[in-house]
Amino acid sequence: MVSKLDQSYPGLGGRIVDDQGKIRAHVNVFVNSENSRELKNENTPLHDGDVVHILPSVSGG
Amino acid sequence: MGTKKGGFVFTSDSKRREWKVSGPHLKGNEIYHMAYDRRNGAILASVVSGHWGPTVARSEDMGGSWKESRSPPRFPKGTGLSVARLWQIKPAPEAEPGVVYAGVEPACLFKSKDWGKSWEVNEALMNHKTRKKWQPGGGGLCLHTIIVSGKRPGRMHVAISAVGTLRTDDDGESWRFQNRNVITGDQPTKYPEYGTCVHKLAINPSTPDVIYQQNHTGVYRSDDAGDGWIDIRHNLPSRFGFPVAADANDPKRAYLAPLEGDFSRIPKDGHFAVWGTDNRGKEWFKLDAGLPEKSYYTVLRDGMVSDMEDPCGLYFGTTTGQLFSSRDQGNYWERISDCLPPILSVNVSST
Repeated sequence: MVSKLDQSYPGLGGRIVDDQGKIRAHVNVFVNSENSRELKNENTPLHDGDVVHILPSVSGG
Repeated sequence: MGTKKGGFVFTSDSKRREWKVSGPHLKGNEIYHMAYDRRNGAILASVVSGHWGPTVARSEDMGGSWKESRSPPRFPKGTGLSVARLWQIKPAPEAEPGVVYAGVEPACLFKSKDWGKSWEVNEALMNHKTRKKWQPGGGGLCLHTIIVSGKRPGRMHVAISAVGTLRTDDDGESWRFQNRNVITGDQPTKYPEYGTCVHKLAINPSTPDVIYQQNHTGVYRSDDAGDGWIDIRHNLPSRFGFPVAADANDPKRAYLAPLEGDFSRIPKDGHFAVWGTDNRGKEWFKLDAGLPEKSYYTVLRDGMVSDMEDPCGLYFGTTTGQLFSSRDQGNYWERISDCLPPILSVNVSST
């Protein structure tokens, strides 16, 4: 998904994942309201109809 | 000027008395470094978002509008490395149109051939045989200084904290350490090949083989393009500090901002001062006219810079948001602003 997003919007991929493809520490990716960190992180499989949200963490005080 | 909350652009005429300011540009982001490219009038900025990571942004209208790079510096997949931030952006000399260099954390060099739009990693540094033994300094394993004078084709110096200084003479195909006679403070080997904590380097472009170095453990000068270093601490109040600037017109002059020591990192006696030399470091004198009597200013390694005017102007920015300038080689200081975000870097150029 990230690489396809990056093809459509060059540079966007690198804002979601780091140089090695890992989701950035303060970015959360939800798949159907489940945090991908509770699934398989950047390797979480996606299926037709899945809804993905990419959000900055609300943290830091 | 890069700050923790965005970039600012101060402009003046050659008199350098009245300043107009614009910003914060790219607000909310840490702007670690900004550089003006005189070849095409663009400003490049190192942008670090706490969420979205690092990138490079470019403005062609003096900060009015910005475009982020679609292909910023990124390490190749499989290396295990990921760019945390760009510490330095350095446009190449006129003889290399389109070329811009960037120093990043974890320490490496990137090169752009299209004015900063896309970047390639320097593989020789990325794969350096000693890399696995490199240890970070307190601020991170950062390539924070790039010197490319253009006087000797293929030559470049870089400085990495806390690895030391390296030089290439073949346009980055190979690198060798240049830390001879630089002492370490806390290692079994007092003069190692690498592992010295260089804080900043500076040159006068007319004498590129003469390099001034502010190191964690002392102040040095090289007269042979970094092949060897001479201790020039002499009468400085301390050997510790971060920035160093070279005078644009007089190669015998350089400027430092010493701190009490690495144990406290505050100005000695609570009085921040810039110190200068006019004889290559044989002797140093205090330059504090116009500065507060009592101040605990912190000026980071990229927080002080000299311009190319005559007489040479100096500028420093503090982590508490003050920006000072001197139009006369530090003999008198004026405060340009007292209300900026924490200043990470100051850079200057004529347009």
